[in-house]
Amino acid sequence: MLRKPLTLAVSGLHRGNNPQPGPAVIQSIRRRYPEACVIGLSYDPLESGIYSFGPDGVEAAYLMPYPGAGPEALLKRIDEIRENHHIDLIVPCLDSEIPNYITLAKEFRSRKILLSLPRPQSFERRLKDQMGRLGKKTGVLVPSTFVAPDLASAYYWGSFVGYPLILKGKHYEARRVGSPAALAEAFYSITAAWGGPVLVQEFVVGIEYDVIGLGDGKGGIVGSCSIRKLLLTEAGKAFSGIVVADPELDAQVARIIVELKWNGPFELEFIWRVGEFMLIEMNPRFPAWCDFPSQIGCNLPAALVEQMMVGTTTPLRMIEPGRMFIRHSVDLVGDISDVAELSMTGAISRELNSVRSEIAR
Amino acid sequence: MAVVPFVNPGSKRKPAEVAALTGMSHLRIVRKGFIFDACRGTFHRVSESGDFIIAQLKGGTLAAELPTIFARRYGISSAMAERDIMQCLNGLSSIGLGLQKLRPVGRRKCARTELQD
Repeated sequence: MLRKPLTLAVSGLHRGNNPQPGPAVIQSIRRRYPEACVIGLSYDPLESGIYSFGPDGVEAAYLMPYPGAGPEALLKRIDEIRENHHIDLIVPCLDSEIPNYITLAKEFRSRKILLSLPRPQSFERRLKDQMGRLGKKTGVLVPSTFVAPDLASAYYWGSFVGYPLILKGKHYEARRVGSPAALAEAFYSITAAWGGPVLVQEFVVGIEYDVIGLGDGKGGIVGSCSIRKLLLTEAGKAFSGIVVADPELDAQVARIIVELKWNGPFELEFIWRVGEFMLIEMNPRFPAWCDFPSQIGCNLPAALVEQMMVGTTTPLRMIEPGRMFIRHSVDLVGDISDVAELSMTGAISRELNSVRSEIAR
Repeated sequence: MAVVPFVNPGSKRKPAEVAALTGMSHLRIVRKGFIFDACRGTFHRVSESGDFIIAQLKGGTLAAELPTIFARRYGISSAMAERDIMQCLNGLSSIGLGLQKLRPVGRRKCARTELQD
């Protein structure tokens, strides 16, 4: 148990139709540490989490430079925030942020800010274009994936894997491409949004599974929860899921985590087809549904905090198969003055009590 | 009574016997007529007789005894019971239930063709 109230910074605050994990991570942490003060690291004044006064809300929010601005810009902004708020730890919740934080690991250590990050090599080895090698090493099936830096190579690999195929951005977005005629539009759309190169991936049809967990950095798993996705958004995100207990799935996850000696949060996405699991993606963060297991005994974000602050974790409960979640969107009330303040000053803060009283209610 | 052989349609697996199905621990009867596969995360409605078969197998009834018990419960002949059980198990297999956890135990020639004929 912690002796002093915790102050942490969390990013990925938007719970929109493609929800980011931040608010779920905050809510989970507050389930264990209700006194925690949360600083939101935001990229847009309209990120929904800024406007929440519930347990997933933030006491203050700061606009951040985009990850593409590089590590120096990130560090400069964090130092600016530290002039107003002490920060014990940061939980980055977006894939694209992680490389900057890895680069700045020493800087954060010198500032006594805790982070739970994978080793640089582990982070690289789970990239979409490296997963083939990881799959071979661990005996886990992965779909054929090829890097396409330009449209010509996308067409080449498209004819190789066949249509339909999946075209993926390096960090985000995946689009199903039904024919060569649709390839160019998808290619330009993804590269315009996320930059190149894109990845041409074999289209795999099957049931989708998702595993959330926390690695201890030595090859062990502090806790995990596996679900089958019941409802999917257009972007393929889980809108509803049901807990499963499959020894084969667990074994595959364990092999990957051992191989990578993964440290920190992870999400592994699988597709089950013809009696076999295929690893589609590994994300270096918690997914947006991480508050579901937190409500029933497997609070991974709180375990992450405990791991960082104390060095050990309270044992987590295995979730019984059949427990399920279904997402329920709500409308938050905001005011244009909040948007103005955040847009003009790059920061917004609230009376801590307003959030706390909401939690207490 | 003869053991009912069991073949997954379209599968290259060797015939497995009903006896192997007694390891259906991953199937949970949530309530009468509704089953949940804890491995796959799938759930299905099943008929009353299907529910009965699954409950019996999960309860440890031996495969050899099942047709007799089934025939007695529904007042049908043993041959008809065997056929119904096989159809039920094939149905479960076709939706991905049951067969994945099986190991073929029978090497004898499959009698399924005779039953189908």
